[in-house]
Amino acid sequence: MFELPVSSNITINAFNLKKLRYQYINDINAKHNELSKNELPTPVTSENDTGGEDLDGDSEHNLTSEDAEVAQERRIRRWKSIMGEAIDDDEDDNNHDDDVDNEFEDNGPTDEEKKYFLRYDKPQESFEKWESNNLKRQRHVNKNFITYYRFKKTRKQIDKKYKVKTMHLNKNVKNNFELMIDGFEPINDNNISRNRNLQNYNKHHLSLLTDLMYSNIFKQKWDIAYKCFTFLLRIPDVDIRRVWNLGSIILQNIDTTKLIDFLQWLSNVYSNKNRSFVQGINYRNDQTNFNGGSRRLTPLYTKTLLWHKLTLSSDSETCESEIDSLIEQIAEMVVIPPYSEDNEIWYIFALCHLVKADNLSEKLYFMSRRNPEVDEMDTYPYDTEIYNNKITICINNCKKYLRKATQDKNFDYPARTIETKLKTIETRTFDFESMPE
Amino acid sequence: MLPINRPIGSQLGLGVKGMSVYVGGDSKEKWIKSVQDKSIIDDSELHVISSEVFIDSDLQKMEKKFIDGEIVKDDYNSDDSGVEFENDEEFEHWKDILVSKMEWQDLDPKISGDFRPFKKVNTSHDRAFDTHEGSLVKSMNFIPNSLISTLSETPIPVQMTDTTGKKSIGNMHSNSTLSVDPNTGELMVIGLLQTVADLRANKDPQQVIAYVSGNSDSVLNIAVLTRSKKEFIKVDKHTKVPGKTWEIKDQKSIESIELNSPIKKILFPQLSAIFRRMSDLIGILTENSLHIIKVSNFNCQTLKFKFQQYKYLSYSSLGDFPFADFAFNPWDMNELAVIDIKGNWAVCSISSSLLKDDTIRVSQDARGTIYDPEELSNWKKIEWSSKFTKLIVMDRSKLFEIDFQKDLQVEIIEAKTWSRLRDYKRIDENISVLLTTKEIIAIRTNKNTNCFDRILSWKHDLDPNDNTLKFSIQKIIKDKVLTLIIYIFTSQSNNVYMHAFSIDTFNLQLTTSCQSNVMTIPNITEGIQTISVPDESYDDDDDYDMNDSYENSSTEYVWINMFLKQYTSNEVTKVIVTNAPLHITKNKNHVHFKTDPNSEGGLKMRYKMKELQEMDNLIQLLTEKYKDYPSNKNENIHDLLQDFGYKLSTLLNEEMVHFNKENRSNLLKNRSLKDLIDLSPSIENLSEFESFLDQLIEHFEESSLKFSNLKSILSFFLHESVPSIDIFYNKLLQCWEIITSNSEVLTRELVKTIVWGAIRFCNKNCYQDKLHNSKDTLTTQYQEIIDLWELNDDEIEEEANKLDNTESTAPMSQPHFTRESQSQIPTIKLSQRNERQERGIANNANRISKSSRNRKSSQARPLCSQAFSSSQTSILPDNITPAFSLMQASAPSLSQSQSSQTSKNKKKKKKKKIGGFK
Repeated sequence: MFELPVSSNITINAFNLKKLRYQYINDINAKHNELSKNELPTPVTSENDTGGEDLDGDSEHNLTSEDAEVAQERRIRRWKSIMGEAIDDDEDDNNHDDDVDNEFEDNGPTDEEKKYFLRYDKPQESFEKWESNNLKRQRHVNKNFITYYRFKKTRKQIDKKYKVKTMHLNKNVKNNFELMIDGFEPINDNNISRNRNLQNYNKHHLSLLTDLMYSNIFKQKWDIAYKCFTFLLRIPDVDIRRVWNLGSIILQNIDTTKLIDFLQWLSNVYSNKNRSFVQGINYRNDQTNFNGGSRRLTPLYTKTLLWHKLTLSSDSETCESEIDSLIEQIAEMVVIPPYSEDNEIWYIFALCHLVKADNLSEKLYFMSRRNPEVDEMDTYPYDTEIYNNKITICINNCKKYLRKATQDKNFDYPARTIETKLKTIETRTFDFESMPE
Repeated sequence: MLPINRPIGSQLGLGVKGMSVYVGGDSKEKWIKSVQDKSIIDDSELHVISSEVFIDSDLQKMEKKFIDGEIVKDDYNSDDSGVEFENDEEFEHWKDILVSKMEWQDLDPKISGDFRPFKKVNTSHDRAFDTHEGSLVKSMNFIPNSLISTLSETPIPVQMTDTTGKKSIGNMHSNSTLSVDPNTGELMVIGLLQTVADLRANKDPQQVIAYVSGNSDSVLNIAVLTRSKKEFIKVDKHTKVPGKTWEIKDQKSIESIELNSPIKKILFPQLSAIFRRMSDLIGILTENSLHIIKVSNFNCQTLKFKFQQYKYLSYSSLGDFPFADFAFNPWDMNELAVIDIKGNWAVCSISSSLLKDDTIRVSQDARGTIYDPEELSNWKKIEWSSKFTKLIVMDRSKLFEIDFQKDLQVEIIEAKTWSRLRDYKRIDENISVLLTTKEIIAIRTNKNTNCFDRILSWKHDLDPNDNTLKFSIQKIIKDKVLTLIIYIFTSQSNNVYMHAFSIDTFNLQLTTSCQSNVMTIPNITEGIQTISVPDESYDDDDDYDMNDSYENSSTEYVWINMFLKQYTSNEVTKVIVTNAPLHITKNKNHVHFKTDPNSEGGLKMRYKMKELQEMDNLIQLLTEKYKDYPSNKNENIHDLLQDFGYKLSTLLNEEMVHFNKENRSNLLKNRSLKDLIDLSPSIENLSEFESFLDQLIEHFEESSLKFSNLKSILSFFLHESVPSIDIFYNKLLQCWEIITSNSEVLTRELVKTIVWGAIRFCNKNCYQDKLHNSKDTLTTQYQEIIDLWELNDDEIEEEANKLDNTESTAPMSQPHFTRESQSQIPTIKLSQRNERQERGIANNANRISKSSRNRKSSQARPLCSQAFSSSQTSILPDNITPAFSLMQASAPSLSQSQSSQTSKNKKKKKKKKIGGFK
C-alpha cells in the first residue's frame, strides 16, 4: 500500500513501457506541432505560441523544429532497422533480441526521456512546479478546440508506426501501451504484470515490512515501529533519505536526544550542499528537498533538525546555553549557500534570538519582581546592564534577520504577532530600568 | 497566521516539523505550530465497529418487484438488469416469498397512496435493448457471468469485465492487463437536496442517497435517507454515545431511472454558503451524455420524489469526445461547466422556458481547451474556483485557473516529473484540497487577491504508482473550527487512509494533524470505489442535539457514518467508525465486526454477509440442539460398548456372509459402518470408544475385513499427525470453545460423527482376487517386479541368490492365513488407561484383580456371553466369527492367547508387506 523506500523500484515491463511512452509522447508532440504549424494560425493560437515570455517561446519554437528534424531522421533509421530486424527475425531469433536491445540503448528511450524533459523543468522545492507569480503567466484562453478529426489526424500515422514497433514486444507491455494511448490507465503503473509481489521475494519482504512499519506508526506502537525501521535500514537497497521522516517520528516518541542525533547525522552526512542539481540527468527518483538538498536547496531534515532544537531548547531549563549553541550553529551555516539563500533558515535564526531575548528578559523581570533591591543581594550576581545589552542585541538581531528572511518577498510571517512579542520584551526591560528609579 | 514560504508553503509529513511562531512564555503553548501536537481527531483509537451491507441493489430490485406485487412479465427478458436466478435455491426462495404473498394478499386490487390515474404511463421497458455504449467494442469477449463469479476464488484479484465492459476493460488481454477508465468517479453520493417548495415552507433539506445499479451501471437510484431512531450506546457508566445512523425507511421509496448508458459520475451541486440553501438538482454524467434531474416535489409521508428530467446534453455538442467531468456553478444554479476527455471545456446553462422542454445550452464564448498532446490519460477534471467566472481545469499533469469572462488562463501547476495529480475537491470559496501521488495539498484561493496558494502539504507516502487513488472529504464544524477529514481510498485494497486538517474559521489558520491513520474496512473484499460521508452538520434535529449527549461525558467521541461502494459490486456498505471503546458484538439482524488491530491489510473477509449469517444460524441451531443433551454416567460405558459391540459384530458377520455369497465384482466397493448401524449417542468417553474401535478393527482385520486408517484420515482435518481421537477432540474443542458455550458436547458429537462416517470397510479377499487376476494378465517380467516389491531388502538379496526359485510365496499364503484367523474367538478388552499401561507387565493374577473390579459393571451379561462365546465356536460356520465376549477372570481364555499369537504372526506378515511399499 505504501511507497517502498528504495531508489529503483521499477519492474522491467514497467521500465519498457515507460521508454515507449516517452517515445510516443515525443512523436505525438512533434506531429501535433507540425500540424498546427501547417494550419492557418488563428490570431488566438499565434498569440498563444509566441505570447508571454518571448524567450521561452522562441526556444520552444526552435526546439520543436529541431525535434521534428531529429524525429524525422530517427524515424527513417528506425524504419530501416525494423525492416532489417524483420529479416533477422526470420533468420535468427537471438540475433533479433540483441538488435532490439541495442536499438533501445543507442538512440531510444534515454534520449527520448531527456528530450521530453528538455521542455520541462525538474522542480526541486516540491514535487510539482508551482507558479507563484500568476499575473506574469497569464495567457489568453486557448480556444482551439481539439476535434475528433484533428485528433485522429495527429494520431493516425504515429499509431500505425507504433503498431509495427510494438509487434515484437512483450505482450504485457504491448497491451498496456495500447490501452494507455487510448487514454486508459493501468490500475498500478508499476504493476504491469499481475503477480508483482511474487516476482521478487526481497521486494515482497520489503513491502510487508514497510506496511507493517506504517501501520504501527499509525497505531502509535513505537517499539514495534522502531524495530521495523531498524530492519528496514538493513535491507541493501533501502535509501534512508526516503524514510528519514519516519525515523524522526519514531525517535521523537522514544527518545528525543536520539532524535537530535539522528537528524544531525543526516544533515551532516547528506548535507548535499556541494551537490548541484543537474536538469539534464534523468533521475530515477524524485530529487526534491524531501530526499536531500543541493547547492540551491536546504534539505527538509536540516530544517526539521533546527526546528526541533529550537523548540526543545525553548522548553528546557538550560535554555540559554542551548540557544547559544544553536545560534552558533546557524551562524556558521548561513555563511554559505544553500542556507544563506533560504528564508526559512533566516527566520529560524531570527526566532532563536527572539527566544533568547524573551528568556533573558523574563529572568530579569522575575528577578526584579522578587527582589526589588537586586544590588544588595549577593546571590544574584547578574549585572543588569549586561542583561539589558544582551537583550537589545538580540532584539536588533532578530529584526535584522527577519528583514533578511523577507527580502525577496516570497516569505511571509505573522509580523504583528512577532512585533507585539518584541515590544513586550522591550517593555519588560524598560520596566526594569525604570523601576529602580 | 503562520509563516509561509511562497510558492511552496509548508511541506509537512510524518515526522516533519513545520514552521511555527514563537509567542512566548506567558501561556502554556509557547508555539503556534502548523502541526498540531495532538491529533485533531484521535486517530489511533478509531476503529470500525460496524460494517454491513446497506443496499445490495441487485437483490433489492428483485425484492422490490415482488413486494410491490407487480410481477412484471418482462422478468423473463430482463436478463440485462441482473434479475436472474443464479440457482434453483434462489428461485425457490423467491417463489416462497411470492407464494406467501399470494396467500395473504387481498384479491381486490390495492390502490396505493400515490396512485395517479393517467398522469404518467409506464410503458414496459425491455432491458435487452439497453444500450451499452461506451464499452470498448474491440475488447469485448463474452465471458459468462457464472464463470467470472467462480474465478474470484483465485488468489490474485482478477478484474474482468462482464458483457458491458463495466469498470475495467482488461479482457482482450486476459493475461494481465488491468486498466481502468480514469474518469469513473462517484457512483454513490450522499448529498442534501432542498426543493423550492420546501424552501418556501422553511423545511430542512433532505439527505439523499443516489447510487447506480444494473449490470451496465446505467440505472440511477435515488432514495431519501432518514435518521434511525435515537439510540444511545453506553460506553461506561457515565458516557453515552449517540449511536445515530441513517437508513432507508421504505424500500418502495427508491426511485430508479434508466439512463441507457453507463453512469460515470453523480453530483449534487454545492451552492455557495451565501445562499443558505441547498440545490434541487442532481447531475449525472454518463458515457455519452450529461443528464440533469430536477427534484420538483417531495412527499414527506411516502418519502417519494417527483422529479423532472431535462433534455440531456449529448457528447457531440462539444468536441465529439465523451465528457470526463462537470461541475455546477456554486453562485448560479443554472450554470455548469463540462470538460471532455481531451480537455475541451465549456460553460453551459440550463435554460428553462414555459413552452419547450428545459434544455442545457453550451455557451459559444465561454469555452476553450487545455488539450495537451503529451498527456495520454483521459482523466480530466473541472471545478469552480474562487469566483463566479473562474474555473479550475486540470489533467493529470497540469492545473489551470481560467477566467472565462476575461478570457485569461494561468497554468498554476505543472506536474510532469516527480508526481502526478490524482484528485481535487473544492471545499468552499477559500479552501480546496488537491491530491497528488505524493501529497495532500491544501490550497487557499481568494477572489480579491487573485491568489491560488499552496499553503500546506502533507506527504502521505502512499504508493505513487497506484492510479486509482481518490479521496473524499468530511467537514465537521465545531467551535468555529472547521475540521476536514480526508479519506483516501483505492480500488486496490480495503484500507482507507485518513488524515485531518483543521481550519480556524476566524483567522483562516490552517493546521494539520500530526498523525494519519489507516483503517481496514472489514467485510469488503475488493477495493473501494467511492466513499461518501453524509453532511451531518446540517440537520440539527432536537432529538440529535450533539451537545446534549455529551453533557455527562468528559471525553468526546467521534462517531462517523460512512457509506462506501465496493469496486466491483453494486453493494453499498454502511460503516460506522468511532473511537469510543465499543465492541459491538451482535445485533439482531446484523453481524458486527471488531477489526483485529493486528490485521492491517492482512485480513480479508472472504465471506459475504449472508454466508456469515447462515453460519451464525447454524451455530445457534447446533448449540440449541445440544443444550439439554443427556449426559450419561460414565459407569455405563462398558455395558453400552459391549451391547453395541455385539450388535455391530453380528451385523458385520452378516455382512461377511454376504461378501462370500455375492458376486465378487460387486463387492469391490467399500462400505461404511454408518450404513450398518447408527452410532449410539450415549457413548461419551472417547478414549473408551477409541479402544473399542481399535479392538473391533483388530479383530475383523484378522477375518479379512479391511478398515480405513482412521488416524491418517483425521490428520487430513488438522494437517498434522493425530495420534488419537482424544487429541483430535481437544483440537476441535479449541475452535468451538470460542463460538459456543456448549462446546464440549457439540465437539464430542462432531468427533463421533466424523469418526463413524470415516470408518469404512471392505473385504480384503475380493481385492486379493482381483489383484491376482490382474497380476496374471501381466507379463512375467512385471510379475517378478511386483513380487520383489513386497519383499524386504535382505529378502530381495535372498531372492536374487536363488533366482531359479520362481515361486512367489507371500500372496499365496494370505488366504490360508486369514481363513485360519477367522476361527478365532474375538474378545473385547476393557481399557482404562492405567489398565492398558499395566497390561505390558501384566501377569494373570494381576489381570484377575483388575477384571474383578470391573465385574460389577460388566455383570449384565457375563454368563450369557461366556456361554455364547464358548459354544459359538462350534455352532457357527467356519468363516463367521462369533460376537464379542468379555474376557473373564476365571477364564484367561485360550482365545486371548491365541489371538495375540496370531496377531503377532500377522504383525510380522504385515510388516513385511508394508516394508515393501515403503
